[in-house]
Order: sequence, then structure tokens, then C-alpha cells
Amino acid sequence: MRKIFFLSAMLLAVQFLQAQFDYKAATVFQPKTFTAEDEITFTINVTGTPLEGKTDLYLWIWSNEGAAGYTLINGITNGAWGASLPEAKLTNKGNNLFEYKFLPTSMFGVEPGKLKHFQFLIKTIDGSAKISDQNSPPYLFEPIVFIPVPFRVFPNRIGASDVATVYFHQDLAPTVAEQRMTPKTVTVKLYDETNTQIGDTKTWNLKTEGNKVWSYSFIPDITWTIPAGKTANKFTFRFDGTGKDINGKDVVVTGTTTEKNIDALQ
Amino acid sequence: MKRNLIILFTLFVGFAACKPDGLPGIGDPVNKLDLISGNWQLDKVVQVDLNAVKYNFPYKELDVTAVAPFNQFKLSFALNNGAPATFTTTPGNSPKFIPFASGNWQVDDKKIPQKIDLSSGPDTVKMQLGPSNGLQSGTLIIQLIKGDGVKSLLRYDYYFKKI
Repeated sequence: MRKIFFLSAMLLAVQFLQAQFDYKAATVFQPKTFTAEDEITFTINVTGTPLEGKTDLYLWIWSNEGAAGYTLINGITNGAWGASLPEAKLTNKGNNLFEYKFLPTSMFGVEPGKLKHFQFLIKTIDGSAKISDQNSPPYLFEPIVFIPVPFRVFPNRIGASDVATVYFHQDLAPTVAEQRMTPKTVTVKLYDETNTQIGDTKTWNLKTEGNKVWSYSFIPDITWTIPAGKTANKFTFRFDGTGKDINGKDVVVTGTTTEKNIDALQ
Repeated sequence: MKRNLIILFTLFVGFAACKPDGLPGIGDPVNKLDLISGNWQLDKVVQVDLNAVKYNFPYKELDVTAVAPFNQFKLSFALNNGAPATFTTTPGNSPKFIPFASGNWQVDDKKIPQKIDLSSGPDTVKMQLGPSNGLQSGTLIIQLIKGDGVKSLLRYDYYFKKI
């Protein structure tokens, strides 16, 4: 009985693993990040999926699924699952590579402010085979309106050799302790692509910008020596300060840690 | 009556004395390459978030001159028979945003240069010339645009002073 149970569990696990498809590894987007007003081109490698070796593949795309405050919208090229429209056909680039280009606002027929993210599947025209049982992860559209945040980085996209300025907008702080503290320092850690910290943790005194805003600027690849063969992939930053406890005694306030990706800008 | 005749006569003489004058020449066009050539020292660096500019976000640009010793960066442009020839950089302790010590420079248009390429061997840094109205007063603005390969995301405006 125990053997049967063990075998069944193994079979289920194998089936589950076979159904998995690593969208992140198989898909390349240009540009890498996009607003709903940008033309997006993506290339997908279907090697190792039920679609491997097929020559004619079609896109099934939708937006906003599960996004609070947004309406689910199907792509206008979808047609029916059993009969994809010609407009949904991907360009066969050979070697199981397929490409598709679209403009989100045209694809979903709405203003950019009504689009939060999109997901997709790749399928045959009649839907008899698809790339995976799993939908793609949601790919977020960058906002086209400014959204105030307590922990901001300027500019929004940075490379390792760019000046990064971290800002603390205290009036937007997420905790009462952070709202009341006197901000003193920012603590920054740099990480490589394997999530391993590069070099030591830096703590710097903050510069006052006025109006309850504090900042600090640094250049990652000058502040830290990035080892050969490694890339600076992200940094975390945290604003700390001092406050008072209920007895009026000075206490150290540890702020919220925020993460920021570092891109390969060129 | 006599007074009116005098006024009329004066006006007549005045108008008769008028003759069409040709517009004075505006002179030779400014040779921008001549103005670009010479020795420059970095005075100011401004970072511009192009996405923020495009969508009119409140935080569009930031003066980052004080973040690193950018002011130590020196740049020289030389001409050969009036055409762009060689350049040299002396970064001091400044970040080396032009990663070559020397090389050749080229522009897209010798009369109205807008793009400037700095090359060293097989490598080239493509930059743009900013507004040129400061050139005659000794300010050269060179812009470096960075992106993800498709989309322009970030621009640096390097303000040089002639030395």
C-alpha cells in the first residue's frame, strides 16, 4: 500500500514538473520594460513544450486578470480558442523560436490607464495543443502617471554605473514610527544575480531636502567593487532614525527595507 | 493755410529724402567646429529621467555634479584642416563616462553638428551635442543617452566650460 502511494506521488510529481514551463527563461521582451503605449516585441522559445517542432503557432492574450479595480480584457486578435484569428499568428523565426509584436492599447482597445498587466499562452490554431497548462505570469505595464511612494529612487531605471539617488518621503511613511522619527541614515546593500551580497553594507548620513524629504546619492560600481564575472543585480535600502518611546526615552527606529533592480543600461 | 503748406512741404521733403536701404549682411555663419575645438573642463552634470519627461512626472531631472568628483574631468577636441580629428580625456578622479583616454571624434554635420561620436579603436561612444547657443560664451553641452537597447530611458547632460 505504501509503495503504491509512493509511486502515485512520484508519477504526479513528474506530471507536474512536465507541465511547468519557465516563461521567464524562454521569453525575451523588447523593450524589457514597457508602458501600455509602447510597442512590445517578444520572442519565445517553445523547445521542450508540446508545441516543439510545430510551424504555425498563435497567441492567446488577455489583460488585468485578478487585478483589483481593473476589468479583464481579451486581446482583439484572440478569436475563439478553437479557431485563432490570422492576426494572432506568431512569426516563425526557426529553431522553435517565435516572435510577436503588438501595441497594448490597440491589442486591448482601451486607454493605457485601464491596463495593469497582461498574460498569454501560445497555442495551435485549433487549440489542440498549447505551450503549457500554466498561463504566463502577469507582465506589468509601467505606470504613465506618477504614483507617489515613500521610498523613491531617481532615476526610475538605473545601471550599475549610474548615479542612484534614494529618497525618503516621510509624509508617506508606512509606519507611525517612521512618520515620527528623525531620519538619520540610509543603509544600502548591493546584490549580484545570485542574490549574494556584494561587498559590505554601507550606512550613510542623510541629506535634508526640506518638506520632510531626505536623500542620499551614490554610484553602485564606484561605491562597491563588483567582482569579475558578477553583475550588480539589485540593491536594498532602508532609512533609519531616532524617536522616543512611551517614556520619552530615545530609541532607534529601523525603517522599511525597499528593493531596487539594477538594469543593464547601455 | 500757409502753415499747412509748410507742413506739407516738410513732409514732402522728408519722404523724398527716403531711399530704400539694403539690409546689412548677417556675417559669416558661426563655425561650430571651431568653437567646439579646444580644452574643456566639466562644470555640471544633470541626470534626466526620459520616461518622467515623456509623461510629465514631477521628478524629471537632478543635478548630480556633487555626487562624485565630476569637475576633474577634462576633455580636448582637436581639428585637422577644419575637420574633427582627435580628442583626449583626463578624468582625474571623476567617473569615466567617456571610457577612452584618446581617440577620434566625428560629427554628423559639420555646419550644424547635432551628434558627436567618440571612437577609440573598434569602440565608439555615441553622444549628442546639446543646445549650442552657449558655445560662443564658452559652454559646451554634451549629452549621453542610455537605454535598454530599444527604449531611451536616461540622459546625462554634461556641461563643460572652456579652459
